[in-house]
Amino acid sequence: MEAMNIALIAKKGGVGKTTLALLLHEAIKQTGQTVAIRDYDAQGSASKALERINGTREVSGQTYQVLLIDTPPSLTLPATAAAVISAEIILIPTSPSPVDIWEADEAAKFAKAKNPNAAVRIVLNRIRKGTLLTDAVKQSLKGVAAEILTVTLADRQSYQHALLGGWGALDPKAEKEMFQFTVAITSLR
Amino acid sequence: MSLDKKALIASIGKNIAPSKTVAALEKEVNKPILSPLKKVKFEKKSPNPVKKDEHLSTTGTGKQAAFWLDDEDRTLFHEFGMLLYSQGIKPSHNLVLRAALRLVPKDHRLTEKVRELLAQDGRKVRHQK
Repeated sequence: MEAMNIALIAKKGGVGKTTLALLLHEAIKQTGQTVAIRDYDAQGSASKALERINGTREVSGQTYQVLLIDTPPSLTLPATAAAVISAEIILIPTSPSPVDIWEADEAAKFAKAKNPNAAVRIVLNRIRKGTLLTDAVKQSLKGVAAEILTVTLADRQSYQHALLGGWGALDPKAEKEMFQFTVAITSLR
Repeated sequence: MSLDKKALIASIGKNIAPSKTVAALEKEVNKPILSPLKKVKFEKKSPNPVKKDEHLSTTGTGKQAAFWLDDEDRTLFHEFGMLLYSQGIKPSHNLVLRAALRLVPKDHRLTEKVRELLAQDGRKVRHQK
C-alpha cells in the first residue's frame, strides 16, 4: 500500500502549517511509524526545526509510511499545487479569526479543484473555548467549501515549545490532544 | 503510559497502513523508465508521401537516446512532472530533460555538479582516467 501523503496548505502565513506539520511528525514518530517532512516552503522553517529536534526531512528515494508536505503561504505557487496533487489528505489550518476563515475557504476550494479525490479538512487551530470569538467562528464556518475536522487544537504554549524541544516539550494535555488529532487525521484515509 | 494514550497510539498505527513491501519496491525500482528501443523497418515508399516543405515545417531532426537514471533522478523527474502537471502541462521525461538542458548554466556550476555525481557513482568511468 502507498505511503500516506498529508499536505498542509494555506493562503496566508501564521496559521500554523509548519507547527502542525512538526507536531504531527512528532506524534506519528511516537507510534513507531516512519514519517518525514517534505519542506516546500522557501522559508525553510520546518527544515530548521527538524534539525533542532532531530526529526526526519524527506530524502529522495526513501519510502515513509507517512509523508507530511509543508507548503509556502500561497495558493498561486506551483509548489502548493504540486503538494495538493500528490496528497490524499489535505489539511487547511486556520485560526479563529473571520479573515483567516475566508482565506481557508478559498484554500479549500483550490484544493478540491486541484485534487477532487483527496480528503480536504479545515483544522481549527489556537481555539480558546468559551470565548465570544470562537462562538462567532462557528457561525462563519457554515457554508465553507470543506468539512471541519472534528478535533480542534487549543491555544497552547507547549506547541510552540515543541518546535524547540520536540515531543518531550508537550504537557500531558497537549500530548493527548495531539494523539486525538492524529487519530482523526489518519482515519481520513 | 496511560491506557488511554496506548489506545490512541494503537489507533494511529492501525490507520496508517504499512508501507510498500520490499518486493513491491524492488519491482518498482527495476521497472525500466524508457521502453526498449525497437528496430523500425523503413519502407522505401511511404503510402502518403509528405512534400518537402511540409516535412521541414512540422518536425526537427533527431535520434533516440537511452540512458541510466538512478532512483534520485527518477524522483526528480517525478517532482518536475508534478510541477508541470500543476501548470496544466502533460508532463513527460522528454520535456523535462529538454527544458533542463536549455536551462543548465554552462559554467563552473555544471562542472562542480558533474564532479559531485562522479564522486557518488560507484562505477569507474573509463574516459575519466
